[in-house]
Amino acid sequence: MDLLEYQAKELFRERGIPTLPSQRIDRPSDLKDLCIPYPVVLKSQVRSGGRGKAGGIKFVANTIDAIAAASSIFNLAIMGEFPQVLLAEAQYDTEQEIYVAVVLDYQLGLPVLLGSAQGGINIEKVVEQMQKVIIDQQFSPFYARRLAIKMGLSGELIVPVSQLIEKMYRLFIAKDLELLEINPLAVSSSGELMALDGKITVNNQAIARHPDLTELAAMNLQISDWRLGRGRWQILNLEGNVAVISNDEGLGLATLDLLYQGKAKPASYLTIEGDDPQVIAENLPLDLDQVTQLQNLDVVLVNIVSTGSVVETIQQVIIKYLQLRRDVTTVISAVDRTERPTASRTVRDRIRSKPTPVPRFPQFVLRLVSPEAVTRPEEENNFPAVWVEDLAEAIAATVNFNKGKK
Amino acid sequence: MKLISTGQVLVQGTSEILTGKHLPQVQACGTDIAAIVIVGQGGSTWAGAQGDVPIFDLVEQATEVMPEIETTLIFNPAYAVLDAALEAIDGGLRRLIVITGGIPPLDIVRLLRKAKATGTTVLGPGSKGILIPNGVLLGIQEPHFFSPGGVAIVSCYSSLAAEVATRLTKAGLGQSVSINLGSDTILGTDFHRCLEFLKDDPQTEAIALLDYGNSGHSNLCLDSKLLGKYLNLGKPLVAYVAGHLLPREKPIPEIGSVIASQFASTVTTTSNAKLKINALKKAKILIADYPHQIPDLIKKAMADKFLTKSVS
Repeated sequence: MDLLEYQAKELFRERGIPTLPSQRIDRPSDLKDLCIPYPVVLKSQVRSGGRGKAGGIKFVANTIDAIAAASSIFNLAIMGEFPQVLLAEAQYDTEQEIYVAVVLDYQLGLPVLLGSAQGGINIEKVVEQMQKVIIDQQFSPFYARRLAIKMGLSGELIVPVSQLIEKMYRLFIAKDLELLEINPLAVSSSGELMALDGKITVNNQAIARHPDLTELAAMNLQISDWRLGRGRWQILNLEGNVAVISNDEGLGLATLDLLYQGKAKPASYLTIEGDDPQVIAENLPLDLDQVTQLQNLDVVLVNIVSTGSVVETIQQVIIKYLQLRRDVTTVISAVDRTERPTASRTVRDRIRSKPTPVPRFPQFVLRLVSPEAVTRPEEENNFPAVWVEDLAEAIAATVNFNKGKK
Repeated sequence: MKLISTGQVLVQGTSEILTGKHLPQVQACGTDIAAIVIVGQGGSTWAGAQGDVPIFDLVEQATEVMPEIETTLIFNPAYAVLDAALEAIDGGLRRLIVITGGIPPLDIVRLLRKAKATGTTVLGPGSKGILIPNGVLLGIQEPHFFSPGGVAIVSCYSSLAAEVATRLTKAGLGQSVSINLGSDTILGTDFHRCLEFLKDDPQTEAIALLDYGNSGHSNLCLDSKLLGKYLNLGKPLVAYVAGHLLPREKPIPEIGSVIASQFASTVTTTSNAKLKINALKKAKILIADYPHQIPDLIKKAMADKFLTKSVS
């Protein structure tokens, strides 16, 4: 989970990492009550980097300009995200900008310190001078000093910067972070340090053990929420016409490989994790609702290889869902859904109303395998599913169904 | 430390495991569950089919009266795993199979640091354990899908392993062992460790490696030289990278840091299926494009081996 800048800075403040006086702006009129002296910088609070270039960071010298700037920033989407909040910060006299970060390297399985004497928005310059220190033992402040010296910082900066890095590391460990980046860390002419920006990513597995972060997670709008929780749809291609449900990521990916091999066009896939029947019964219908909204969906291939109880639960949920949908769809198609313009309608209404298409319900190919024999229900009329035993057959059925439609 | 031991086993967890299906299944497969550690239940027993199993509050209490215990299966809830594992190591156990998944990565970092310092082998987290068909079950894989034979399966995902095992059995190739590494973002044991063990295992005649493409890191290791050294074992080696045909995942804009991800393997890195396949190709390891190819590739490799043997 990514924190917004103002949330990250809140954590910085808790830990003694220096930040500027700032104020949270929820709407442009809030600027009338600004407690920070002008000139002030207004920053869009979105997850994206490159806010400055996108026009999400503006310097303002008075209230009128500030309100105008705030209005425009609130209406500016950066990488598809509109800010819910702006941050107003005092301006700062920077002499030098450096880059520091703590990040978990999943290949090494170890935390890593990163630092560059050249911080700021010019990524190439930052990258050029980047230094790295791997924390392969229990952390001790000498690791931070090692980084500061590798960065080539001048003598009087080594102690304050390494102390700040130490605070960053402690925060990293305390809150189960994956990434903690300060770019730029500003150095003033008097040698004072100031975190002008802050980027924090919290590890999703660990959020539940941090109540303050759990609250934030509930508040934050996640563009890519599908990463946050397992058991949500992974989108591959919105134009695709096959969706895959499996109980295991490996099996799901393998099913997709087989489909790509058979020249099918997978749209998305879902991994049902865990074996708690209640959880499955709760979530699966919602997931099915979600995927059947996809415009071009023709087939949903369900490939489950698991224990008897899991298979039985999934089978029951799907059958119930399909029975429900089949009955509803029959009712809908009986009603004429084309709106006919009548004399009493205004011109505006006529232009706006369009015949809404009858929702097309996908065919289901069900392959549920378990050690125990699970009794299959009797064949019903109009039941939008075929049952298959073997995976190769299931793939063939899915691929042929597409071909049959053309 | 040998990767697999068929000796006495300790089980750590909460009282849920006493009423679940895992313990009976493990016992039914011939595993000797010597003791169970559940805090607060010390002194009671679990009535297993092979007799009562004593329950202790602390690991050290169990290992004191049963010093032959070599392996522990850890079922504790995710946030309690690190502590349970450290307790196991402190109690003298050097082989941990962590069944629970979704452990906070920084906990895994701490555990593996301790494991390295003590020479402890950790399988998982999120591992479904080790299964030797008609032998022993150290975990929660479904024995029904497997049959005894000569092909070792090392996987990250157990349902995929079950699928491959089913097809191998259909093709007349049983399995010597199924090792599940788990699917957490940092793992205690990787494919290499398993290959080191399997190359000397007399039961194993061929090896299937089941990795996946968007793991964000590599259990398979991208060093083709390292991979290449397993080629001349006389045991055919086939690898399959699940999801390798998926379109390259578009990087989610700005999750993580554009800068930091150039210097460290952050989880946000895009699928490295291509990297893995390239390393495998360079090492000249047989690659299956999809799981159903695996039995054929193994059969062919074994036939070739037989041919070259009989010719020389």
